Amino acid sequence: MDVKREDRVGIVVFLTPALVLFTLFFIFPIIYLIIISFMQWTGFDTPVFVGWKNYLTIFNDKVFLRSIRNNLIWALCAGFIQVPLAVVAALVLSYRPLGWKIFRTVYFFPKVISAIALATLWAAVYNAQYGLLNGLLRVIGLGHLQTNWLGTLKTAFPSVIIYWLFYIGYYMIIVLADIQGIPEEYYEAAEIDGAGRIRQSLCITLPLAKTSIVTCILLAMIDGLRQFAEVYILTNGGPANRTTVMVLYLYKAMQNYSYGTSSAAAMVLIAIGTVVILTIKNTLGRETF
Amino acid sequence: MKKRRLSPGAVLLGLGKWTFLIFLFVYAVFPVLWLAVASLKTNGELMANPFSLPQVWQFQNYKKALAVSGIARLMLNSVLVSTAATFLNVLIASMAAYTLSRFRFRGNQVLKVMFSSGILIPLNALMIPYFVLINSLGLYNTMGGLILVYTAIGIPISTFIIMGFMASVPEELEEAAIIDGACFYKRFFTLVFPLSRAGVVTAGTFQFLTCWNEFVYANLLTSSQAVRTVQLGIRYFTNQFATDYVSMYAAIIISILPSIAAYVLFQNQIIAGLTSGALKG
Amino acid sequence: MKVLRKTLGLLVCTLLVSLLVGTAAAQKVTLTWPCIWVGVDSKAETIKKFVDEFNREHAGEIEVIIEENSDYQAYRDKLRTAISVGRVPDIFTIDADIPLYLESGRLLDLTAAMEEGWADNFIEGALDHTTVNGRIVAIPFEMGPTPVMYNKRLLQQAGWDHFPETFEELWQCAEDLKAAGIIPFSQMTGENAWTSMLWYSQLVVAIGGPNVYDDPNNPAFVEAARVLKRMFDYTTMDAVGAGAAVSGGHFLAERTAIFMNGPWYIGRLQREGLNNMYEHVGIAPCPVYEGGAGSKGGYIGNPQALLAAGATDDPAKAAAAIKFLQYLTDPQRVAELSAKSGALFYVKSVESEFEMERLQAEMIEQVNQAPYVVPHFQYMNPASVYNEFPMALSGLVLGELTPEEFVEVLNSKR
Repeated sequence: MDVKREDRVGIVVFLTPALVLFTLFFIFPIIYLIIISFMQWTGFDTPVFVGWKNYLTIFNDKVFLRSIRNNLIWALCAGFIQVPLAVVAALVLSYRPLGWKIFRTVYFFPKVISAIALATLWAAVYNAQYGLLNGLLRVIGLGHLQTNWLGTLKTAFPSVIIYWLFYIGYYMIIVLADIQGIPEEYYEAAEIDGAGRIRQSLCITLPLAKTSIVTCILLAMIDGLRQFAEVYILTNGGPANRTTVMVLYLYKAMQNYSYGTSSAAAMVLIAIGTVVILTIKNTLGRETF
Repeated sequence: MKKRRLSPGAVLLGLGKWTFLIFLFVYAVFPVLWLAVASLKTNGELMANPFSLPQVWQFQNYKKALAVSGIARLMLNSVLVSTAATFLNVLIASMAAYTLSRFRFRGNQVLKVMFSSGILIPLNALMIPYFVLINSLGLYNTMGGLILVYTAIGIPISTFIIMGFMASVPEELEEAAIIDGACFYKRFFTLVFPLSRAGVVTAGTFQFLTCWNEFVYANLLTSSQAVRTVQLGIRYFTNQFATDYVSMYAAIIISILPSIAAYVLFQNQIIAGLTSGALKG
Repeated sequence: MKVLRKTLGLLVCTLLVSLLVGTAAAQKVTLTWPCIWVGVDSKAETIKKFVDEFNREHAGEIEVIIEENSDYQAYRDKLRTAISVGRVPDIFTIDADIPLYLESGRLLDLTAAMEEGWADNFIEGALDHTTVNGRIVAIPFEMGPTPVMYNKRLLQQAGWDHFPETFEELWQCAEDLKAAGIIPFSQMTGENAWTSMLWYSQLVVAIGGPNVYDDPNNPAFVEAARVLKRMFDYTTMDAVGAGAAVSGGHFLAERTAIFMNGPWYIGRLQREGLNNMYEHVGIAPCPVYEGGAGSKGGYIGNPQALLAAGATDDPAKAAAAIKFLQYLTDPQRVAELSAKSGALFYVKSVESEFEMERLQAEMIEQVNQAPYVVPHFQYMNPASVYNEFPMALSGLVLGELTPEEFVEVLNSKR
């Protein structure tokens, strides 16, 4: 809508609180980050300007490159495995099979438990000695597959991601909500035309639920890029830095009193994230946003 | 629903469907159940066989965990902080979303992009600026400080979500309201905001969960038990029990019980809000 | 004019208020202490008792408030962040990166008080650790020798009545333990790889001698890595990625026979050890490495924790902080703390009603007999190096890094 004279004050009033908070908690800190990323600072001495040195350092660090790789894999898995799983679940539940309400409640339930609690729980599940996973393998006769899941080079990162991928409740509910808003008439018309459920889903439901699906993909990918607590608790980036992620990397840089490289890594993360979001918006979300 | 003759394809599909649903169900529930059962065993029983059922239910594990925790206070703090921060955040974000999504004015696009880009900022990198900020405002170790931080960090995402839903409220409705003489604020509170309920609830849920789960800043910006939140309690527990796995498990269960209880109590509202789907009406 | 009157009024109000606040402030000083000796830490109970007693004795004048920090890493984050922005806690402990803090200029200068007789409480040479440019800025409090701790009962089951004195014997002992169904070593690569880091420190000195840290390219570092890797063949399945609770837990539950830690762990051995295993715990120096430059009985140890006060312009606060620190380092109280927790301190021991623990006495005897006491790896290296140690170690153990590469990676972080 066009802005009318009497709306002007309202617009300013409504925008101000958000703008104030945003400036204090985002804009100032980002400026701080940018400045420090060009400095060398231990927190105890005075910052010294070093130009692009910090960026060169981190891009020459194999651990940082690995963390970028891990985050991108995570984001892709989140957006294109976790969300599709959620969409399928939403589709299935939208036809209201027996007990669908129970399923819906239970799927959302893990989200209510904090990520920290869940990660601690899965640390117990993955425990090499008393964990649920190794125990299960023993019971079904696959005992030889037992291993130290979080402490073996090849299994560590998959272990950290995979458990997380099947927690689809949050996205499922969003998509399901959107689907249930689709008018019945469309489906009735399709039934008359002889379209089966799968056809209906593909041609009616998915296109009409596009807003929520793309929103979920975006949120999931961002979540994949922002991971910290799960990795911190399960492996702290190990073994041998195999499971490191960018936020963990920059956090460790801070622990090494290297605020310059930490800020540089943060800027790279923001840049990558921006690229990812813009890409998704311009490919999948072209009509919706 | 008409009954159709079941083709082999349909049977397979049906089987697949149910396997899928049940797998996800078990996946969501089983680990927690397992932990709950383990928490009622003795350490000996746990180590012998992770699947065994306890011979005698060891409730003293819970007594031990409770004694160590002070969890009641932490829980209360978490509830207060999360609720306040969610309320403020959703209100402020909705107000901003309203102006940005439904009015055309110079700088609208820029502001939209600016708010949305806030989603990407890795908050862990901002420890120093936030510490300085909260200290200069004199809000260190206060619930107000945490509430302020949580309200602020959720603005980009809440605004983003709510904008999406508000944009799809038909213009005609609002114009009709204008003709009826409704002013700016009235249109927001009585028309657009209620119609965007799904978005508001989505954003609110996300924000509440974020606040509830937040650990890094709860730790950095508080120092006394009077102000601390539940997540710090969980870290505290796991550091306390070196050999006593079952007490640790009891502690974890204790710390998630309230979330579960709240969810069971409020799930109808939450899901109703999320699924009200008044968009395509 | 209206404006002038308003500003005058404001000025007067401010003056009045500040006067009031000023006098009020002179009433009571609060000292906040973000304390890591809480929860199950062996010193927790006694420290709390001391603080309560202090607060009672100084009611109305000084109050010390403990802020619980049970997560070491989170504590260090907070300390680092606070000091970086100029907000030093009133009372705190330093357990890592000590030179950085000592030279930061943000610690309260204790020299004057020390010269008035406080320094006599401490053992010979202790205060040298915390003197910078002639000023004493912190107090060496907890001492940390870290010998081998072993379970005599389990060793006996494998046919050993004494702890191996050479590495030849150690490997034989490990084989015998394995044959008896006992896991020889507790090791860990998770968190800061503490237990394994201590072993590495012992190995490095056993192979390269007490001055090994003078040259980071000393081949002893590589050889030590090789030996440490071999030790992982004789440890638990969950060692890679294990945290301190796990590796300690195995020893406390008598699943592993050989551990390594400091006197503060004695309290935990007593309270959390299963089946009274404390009775069977013995300590020993690191075995001698054949062909190495280390000597028999050589020990690893260093200041485990320093006590410090934040620098402040408020003389009342400074005086209160010094009073509290003096209270904590009073020999009688330290004797009690030491007896109840097992920890050892740089404060001179005195005759007291509190008996020294068996293991403590053994440790002190061994330290006194040791030809040298060298600080551990973490103490001798900058944060960037020792923070990378756990990752490098897991890489070494899992075969991703050769011992040479292991040392290279660590050195590259200097």
